[in-house]
Parts: sequence; C-alpha cells; structure tokens
Amino acid sequence: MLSITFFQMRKNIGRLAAAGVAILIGTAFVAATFVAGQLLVATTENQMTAPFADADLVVPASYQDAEDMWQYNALDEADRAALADVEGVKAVNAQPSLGGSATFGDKIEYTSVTITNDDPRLVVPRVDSGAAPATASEVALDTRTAERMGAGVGDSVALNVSGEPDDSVTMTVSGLTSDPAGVFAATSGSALVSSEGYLALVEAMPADSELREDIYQTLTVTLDDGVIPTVAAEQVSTVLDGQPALTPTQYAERQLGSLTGEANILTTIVLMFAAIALFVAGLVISNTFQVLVAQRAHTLALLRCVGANKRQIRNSVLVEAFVLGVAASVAGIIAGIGLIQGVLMVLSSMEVSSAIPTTVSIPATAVWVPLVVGTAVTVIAALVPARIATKVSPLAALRPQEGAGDSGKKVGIGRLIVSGLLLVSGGALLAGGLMMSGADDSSLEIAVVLGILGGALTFVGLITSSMLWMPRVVSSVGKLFSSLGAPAKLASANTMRNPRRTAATSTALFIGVTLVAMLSVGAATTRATLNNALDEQYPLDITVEQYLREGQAPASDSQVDSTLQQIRAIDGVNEIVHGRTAYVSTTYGSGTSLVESWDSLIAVDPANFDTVLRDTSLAGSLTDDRVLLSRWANANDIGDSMKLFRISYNDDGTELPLEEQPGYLNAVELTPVAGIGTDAYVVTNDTFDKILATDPQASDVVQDMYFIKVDDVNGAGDTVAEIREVFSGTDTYITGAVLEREMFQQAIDVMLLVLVGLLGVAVLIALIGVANTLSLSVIERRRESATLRAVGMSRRQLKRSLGMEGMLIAGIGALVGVVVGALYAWLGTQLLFGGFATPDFTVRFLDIALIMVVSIGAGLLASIAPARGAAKTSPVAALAVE
Amino acid sequence: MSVPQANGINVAVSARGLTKHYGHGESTVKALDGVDVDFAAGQFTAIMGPSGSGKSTLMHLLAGLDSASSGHAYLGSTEVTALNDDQLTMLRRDRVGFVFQSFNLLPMFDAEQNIFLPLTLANKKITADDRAWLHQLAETLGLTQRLSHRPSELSGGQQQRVAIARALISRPEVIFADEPTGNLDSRSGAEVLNFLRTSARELGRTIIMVTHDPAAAAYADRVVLIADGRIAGDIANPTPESVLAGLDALRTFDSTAA
Repeated sequence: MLSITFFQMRKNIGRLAAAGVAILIGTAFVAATFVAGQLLVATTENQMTAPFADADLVVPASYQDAEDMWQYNALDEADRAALADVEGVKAVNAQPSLGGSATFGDKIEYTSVTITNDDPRLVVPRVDSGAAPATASEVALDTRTAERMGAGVGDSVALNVSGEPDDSVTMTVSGLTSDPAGVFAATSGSALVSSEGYLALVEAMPADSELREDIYQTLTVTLDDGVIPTVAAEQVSTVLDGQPALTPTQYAERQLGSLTGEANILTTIVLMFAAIALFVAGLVISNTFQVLVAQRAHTLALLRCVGANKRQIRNSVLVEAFVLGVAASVAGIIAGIGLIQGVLMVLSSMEVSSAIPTTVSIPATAVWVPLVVGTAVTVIAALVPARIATKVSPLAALRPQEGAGDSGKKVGIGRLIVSGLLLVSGGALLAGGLMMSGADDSSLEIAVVLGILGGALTFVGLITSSMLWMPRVVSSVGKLFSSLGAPAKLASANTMRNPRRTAATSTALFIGVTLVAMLSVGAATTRATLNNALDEQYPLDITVEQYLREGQAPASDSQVDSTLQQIRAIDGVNEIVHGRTAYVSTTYGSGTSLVESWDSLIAVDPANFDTVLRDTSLAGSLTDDRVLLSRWANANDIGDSMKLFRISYNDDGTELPLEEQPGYLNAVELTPVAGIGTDAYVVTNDTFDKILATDPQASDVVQDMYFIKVDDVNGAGDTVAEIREVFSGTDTYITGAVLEREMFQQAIDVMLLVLVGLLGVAVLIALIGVANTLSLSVIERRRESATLRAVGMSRRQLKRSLGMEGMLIAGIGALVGVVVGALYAWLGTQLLFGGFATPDFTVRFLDIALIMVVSIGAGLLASIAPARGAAKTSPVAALAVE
Repeated sequence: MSVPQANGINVAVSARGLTKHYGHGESTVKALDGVDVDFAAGQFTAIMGPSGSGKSTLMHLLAGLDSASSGHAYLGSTEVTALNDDQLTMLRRDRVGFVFQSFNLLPMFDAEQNIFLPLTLANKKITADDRAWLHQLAETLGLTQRLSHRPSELSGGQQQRVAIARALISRPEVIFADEPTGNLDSRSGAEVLNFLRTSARELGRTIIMVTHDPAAAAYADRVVLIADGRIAGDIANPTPESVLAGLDALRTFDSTAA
C-alpha cells in the first residue's frame, strides 16, 4: 500500500509541490519568527554589555541581592581605587553616572561622558583621529558632536557633567572618537575624558550638589592573564563589602530576565500572524487533497475492488499528507532561517550596529515548532479529503468516470450551530464594547477588550459559516457577471459547480484581505481622527521658543531677520512670524474675588500673526486693547477686564505681595477675548511693551519665539528636520501640531507596514491556493474543455473563460474581505475613539483599489498556466472514452 | 483543386488521399493510408471496421478535429485540411455538429442551455426562430418535459437525445456521431438511431456515424467498411446480415493478407 502511495505522490508531484509551497511559506514564517526573537535577545544582550567594552568583571551600582530585591549602592572614587589593589586585577575603569553638555562658542551640545583607561579593553569609544585624553584638561569628542559645534582638535571646549554650563571646565580637544558599538546612540555621542578629568568635572559642581554622591554607574575590571573571573569576583566583592561583581554575561542575563519576557511577547504576537498564515495554508492543502482524491477516484475504487479496506485508503491519504508536511516544513525551516541570515548579512554590510550578530543562532524552537505545526496542519487539513476517499465505492471502478469530486454539498448542522453561536455572542460583545466606550473614559479598556474578543469571535464565525454564505455571494456576483458573454457565463457556472471548493478558496483570500483592509481603513481613520483632534488643539503648526539664560542678551533685530530668512528659505515653509514671550502676572476680579496668576505672555504683530494661524476664524480679533486668552483660561470666569503687569521678586527670590509690586500699580488693563488655543496669553507688540514697562526694574527675561506655518501639515517631516537644523546648537524648544502629526503618522505608518507585511504572507498563500484550485479544476474538466472546443469554442474563449473564473474566485474573496474589513475598522475606531473624538471614518480608496487589483490580477495570473494547458487540449479528447 | 462530384449527386463531405501517421521512423504507424471517399448530402452513412482500423481517425480528420499528415478533406466546397485553428473553430460552430459516445453534456447547465451552447459560444442572440427550432427538436426527440433538467437528472438515452439536439441546433451541414449508442442499452440505442435516421430523411441532414455494431450500422443508408487505414468495402441499403457478411469478408481478407 505504501508503494502505491508513493507512486501516486510521484505522479502528482507538481500538484503536491504547489500545495507544499503554502506550508513552506507558513513554516518559514514561524521559523524566522523564532530565530528573529532569539536575535533580538542576543542583540539586546550585546547592547547591554557594550558599555563595559571588553571588561572581565563589572560591579553595577544597582544589583539584585540574594532575595532578588533590587538594591542601589552608589559607587565612588574610593571604591574604584580600592579595586586596583585587589590581587589579579589588571586595570579598573568606571562608567560615569553623570552626563552634561559641551559648549563651543555659542553652540551647546548635550553629551554623555565616558572615561579612558590605559587598558584599551576598558575604553568604549574608538579614537579615530588625534589622541585619547592624557591629562585632566583634555577631552576627545564624538566626531559628530564636534562637527555640529564646529570644534576640532586643539580647540577649547567647556564641558560639564551636570547640564549646567556654569559648572563647566575648559578642556582642550585632544582627539575625535566614534561609537562603533552604538553605546551612546541615544545621547548622540560621548565625551572621552581621563579619570582625573572626570573627577575635575565632578569637583566643578557646587559643593552641595547631590550629584556628587553618585558618580559611577558601574565599575569595570580587567584581570591578569590566568586569573579565573569567578574567583576574582569574590575578592572584588569582599573589598566592596559584599556588593556583587559579575561577568558581563552574568550581568546581561540577570537584566534580561524581564527583557526576554518582552521579546517573548513580541514573538507571540508575530506568531499569531504566522498562525493565520498557516490556517490559510491549511485551507489550501485541504482543497488540493480533495481534488487529488477526486482525480484518483477511479484508482481508489479499483484498489477497493481488489481488496483494499477503508482504513488503508484513508491511511494512504494521510501518509501522503504527512510526507508532504514534513518535506515542506523542513524546506520552510531552511528558508526561514536562511531569510534571517540574509537580512543579517545585509545589515552587517551596511554597518548598522555592531551589537547585531553577523550569524544566526538557531534556537531549538525554530526547528521543532514549525516542523510539528507544519506537519500537523498538513495532516489535519487532509483529514476531510481522507474521509471522502474512503467513501469512494468499489463499484465506481466499474462505472465511467463522471461527476467525481462533487460530494458532500450539505453543510453540517453542527457547523451551522457553532457559527451561529460565534456570530451571536461575538456580536453581543461588540455591541457591549461599543456602548461602554461611549459611556465614559474609565471603561475604555474593558470596552476595547470586549471589542477585540467580539471581533475575533465574529470573524471566526464568518469563516466557519463561509461554506453557507460564500457560495451565495459567488452565485449572485456570478449572475451579474454572466451577461458578459459566453466565456463569462461559463466561468460563473463553473465557479458554482463545486461551491465548497470555490468557497474554501475564496475564504482563504477573504481572511487575509479582511485583515489587510481593516488595517488600511483603521489606520486611515485613526490618522484622520487624530488630524481633526490636532487641528483643534494646535492652532499653530510649529512654535519655536528660544531660551535665554540670565544675563544673555536677546537676539538683535538683524539676528532675528537672519533667522527669519533662513527659515523662509526652507522648502515647505509657508510663513514664519517672530514674536516675544515673557512671564507676567495677571489679575482679574476685585476685592476678595481677586484672582492672581502667573502666565506666559506672547507678543506678536497682529497682522503678521494671522498669516501663520491654521484656524483663521479668529484673524483680526487681536487689537491693542485686547488679550487673547490661553487655552487654559475660561472667558466666563475672567469677566470684563484683566490686569497684566510684570512680576518683581525680592533678592532672595521670593515674591513681593501684590500691593507692593511696582508693576501692579501701573498694570495694563485689557479686555479678554476668546483665544486661539495657545498655551500662553497673546497681546500685540505695543501692548507687550507697555506691560513690560510696568516695572522697569524687573529682571526676568524676554525670549524670542517664532511661529511657523508649513505648506502641508501632512508629511512635513523633511521641513521639520531642516527647521531643527537651523536652531541646532541653541537652547530651543520646538512644539506644534506638525511634530505631533509627524510622530503619530510615522508610528501608524510603520505599524501598518509591518502588519500588512505580516498578513501579506497569508494573502500570498491564499493566492497560491487560487492557482491550485484553478489548475485542478482544469484537469478535472479536460473532457469538458475538449467538448467545448468541439462544439465551437475558440482557444481564446476558453482561456478567457478560465481567466474570468480565476478573477471571479479571487475577486469575490477580496471584495467580501474589503467590505468586512472596512466594517471591522469602523467598529474598531468607533470603539477606540468613541469616548473622546468623533471618528472620521476614512477609506483610502487607493489602498482598497490596490487590494482589489492585486487580488484580481493574481487570480488572472493564476489562470494563465492552467488556461494554456486547457487550450492545448485537442477536441479529439472529447471523443475519447476513459 | 476542384470540388469532387460523384455521379451528379451532391457531395457533402469527401476525402482525397487522406493520410495520417503517428510516430516517426521505424515506429511509424499508418492510421490512415491514402483514403479517397465521398459522402452524399442528406444521407446517413455508417463507417465500420474492426478496432484500430482507422475509422475514428477518418472521422476526426473529416471533421477537422485533428490534422492530416497529407491529403485533403472537404466539407462542401471548403478544404478542411487547409484551415487554421480559428477557422476550424468557426467551421465547428456553424457547419458541423457532434454526437459523442459519452454524451459530453456540461453538468452545470440544464438541457436547454446545453442545446443552445453552440449559439451561446458564437455570441448569437437566441431568436424566436431558434426557439421554434428548439421546440420542434424537443418534440421530435421527446424532450419537451426535460428542457429544464440538468444532465444528472436525465437517463443516458435522454442525455444522448439532448446531445443530438445540441448537434442540430445550428442547422449544420453535417453531423458526426462517434459510437453514439456505445453507452446506451439496446432500447435507448434504437431510439437514438431512429432519430438520426429521421434527421437525415426528414430534416435533410448529412450524418456520418462511426460504429462497430452491425445492428446500429443497419440503420444507415450506406455502410463504408474500413480496414488497416484503407477503404475496404461499401454496402448500400445495409441490413444487419449484409453488414456482418461484409465484416466477415474483411476478416477473410485480413487472414489472406497475413
């Protein structure tokens, strides 16, 4: 029997291979996910140990004690010095806890600080030019930091470790460094100093600074040759009163405990997509086997005639599925691991980060999970076809082979009940979630959980019941289609011949397309909804605030003009307006109801200001006797008038009582009007000057501001980057709707891209299924095709008919998927935003059209090879008797 | 080449030096070896011969289903052997009808749709005239009550009658029938053969039928015997007995030749 099985497999090798590709892709997905998960952990581990360079032992300030409790024991210079005397220790270095800024001319750059050492194994940055600092007054800067400041070797820069320029020590740049391990990627570079230099920087801080207490994050140690790290670790630990010393690997492993958990969650999420892909692959396999069985009905009947029993027939099909499953899974595992290795090779050639390993390490799960799951899916998918095979009666061998394969049109009552329950309960959960999300914010989380559950249940319900409704959809669309001539009529009739198979094929595509369409519509709706919310929240596209330190002179008119010109020259900038801001006191009301507060006040030229407002409804409302309220103020509370004046402080920094404030006596009285949603009050330049004049002695600073309007709020990323460039090196704070949009959009786009990529695998498998179904149908209908040719169908008509059949099957799956996906997206966004914003249901028809075109195009593409085969059939075949 | 004429009778189908080889070199099989034959219009002719005699090949070539190695086949004044695939398709659509041994109806279409199939494929509108013709055919073939049935709901005999109606619907010049009774019991077979004869006599169709059953051949107006790819006999107004005698003669001829 086994030899017959293998003989049949060989005979149908092409067909099995096509089905095997579906499993191959699915298992490759699973294998790649596991390998990538492992890689993520390895990369993180490398990143964690990178700050220790090539140390043999590390002593972290924070560690887990014997009871697994986190302890923090600050490390100081005495600790560092103590370790140098331990036997076997070759060199000791430390990783500073402090970081600060470097100033060169008028440019400030934030920077990490790291310490050099005689033992190169304990130095993190690589010195590319010049030399490492040799004395306390030398520093080697990160090449990029130096470039941004315009500093070079030999220049003097002021460096601090507190972030306060007042605490700076002037040092000479001895060299320029790079950061191959990406340790300082987050802080955009490091300043390499000698250990004496670091101590000098610490000393430069005020004597009472708390920062002095805690200057080292980790001590790093190298050992003499032949010293066993674990033995030395005990001695080190003894010297430090029991603070543990660890090898870098031990350290990473302890830290990774929680991190591995996160990586596992990520892996699990990706595996859910792999599960969808494998489910679709299962549908494809099941279809393929059903047709193989139908094709072999004659042979199977013959086997039954000569004495094979039902079990032998069933086992033969299952063995075939098992062999196919194992072969395809093994190929898939190799493909998946190969894929990740390929990605690694590309990444390493691009030198993205030295923390990423150059070769994959293969966890056992990356082999056995896809092997077991891939094989199991294949065998389970073959169960139904195997049962159908046993139903072939021995008598069938004696009858001419007609109408085989069209078996079991009835849909089981069990399936009906299960899908009905799923749909009803899922629908109820969805409705509950929708009602809760509308109610109040606090229940949103529960609403979302209910919604996800409900969505999942109804989706599974739709899939399990697809045998019921999909044929109906196919038939009604097919009827519409029939009027398009003879090939179309034939195509639609043919899709209805085996409703189960057509339904299963369409369903496979429907699953992937539904999820992709849901993501597309959901993302577009989210984006549109956020856009609306942001438009209301941010009247200004970009606001730039330049901080001045005490004593620093505000920008001169010519400096302001030069900045304005620089920004105007940037592509995508529509308009820029200069403004000023100061901290003022505001009072309103009188007597006991007098309210005093301190607010930011912005001064603008009203005529100019209107040109940068996104919401122009309030243009022209700003006059010399008015103040536009900040978004925090309520016009009804404030009443008719409001007094503004400049605040004065006592020498000790405390505030004078209101009546004694010189400004209050001269306060400017203004009429408050509804504002435009800025964070500060807004007045005209003239009024601002009057308010400043209320107390000429006041010393707090007036800062420059710029308000920028861009041409297009969506996709202003490059413009924003260039604006940042203009202000880089100065102490500025940039905010605005465009930035928020940029962030949200990037997050949404990346997420969408990743998810669609993951689901794309399922769609791809489904399309393989369409091709498979079509070519199997062609084989089954060989004689029919010949008959059609004999009674006057041209080759072109025959090809067109099959092309239409492919497009019909794929198109219906995609169409239903798009509709259901959009519906889920509508429900999902309603649920998520229902509480705080009106979801702006947006369908990007370009996306939808793309999904449809890709699906229908793939359906057509899938028909090409089978159609060519069918058209080659000689009409003589119609006359042949089996 | 001029269109062959035989004794002033209108010739519907003819062959001149028609030859078909299979394979190459040593293993060449001559399925048909220079056949010259004429089939008169409006006549019901049976082609008979033992298995492998080339009777089916002759029919395939005459109907333009297969290409000849050499020689010519004519349908009326059209040289079938000179047509390309598209022209052959048109020829089959408009001028030729087929009846197959295994009926070959499309299972997803009902009887009426199956009968109209040649018109559908030609993208022709179904006219009132076509409908009248369908009803006349249905009545003659006893299918009036069966037009809305699918093939799976019809008996073998009924299916073959639907197939005959399909062959006749476009009023072709010639109907080729390949063992039309091969899958039928003798009563249904007799019915089908009667209809074919009626079609020839009353509707004036030319019918060429391949069969190996002497009883079936006896329904024809003429029997052409074929053996080893050559014409081996011609019987006018055959009876089962005369056909059997002819076949016996062939066997004798065979054994003497061997």
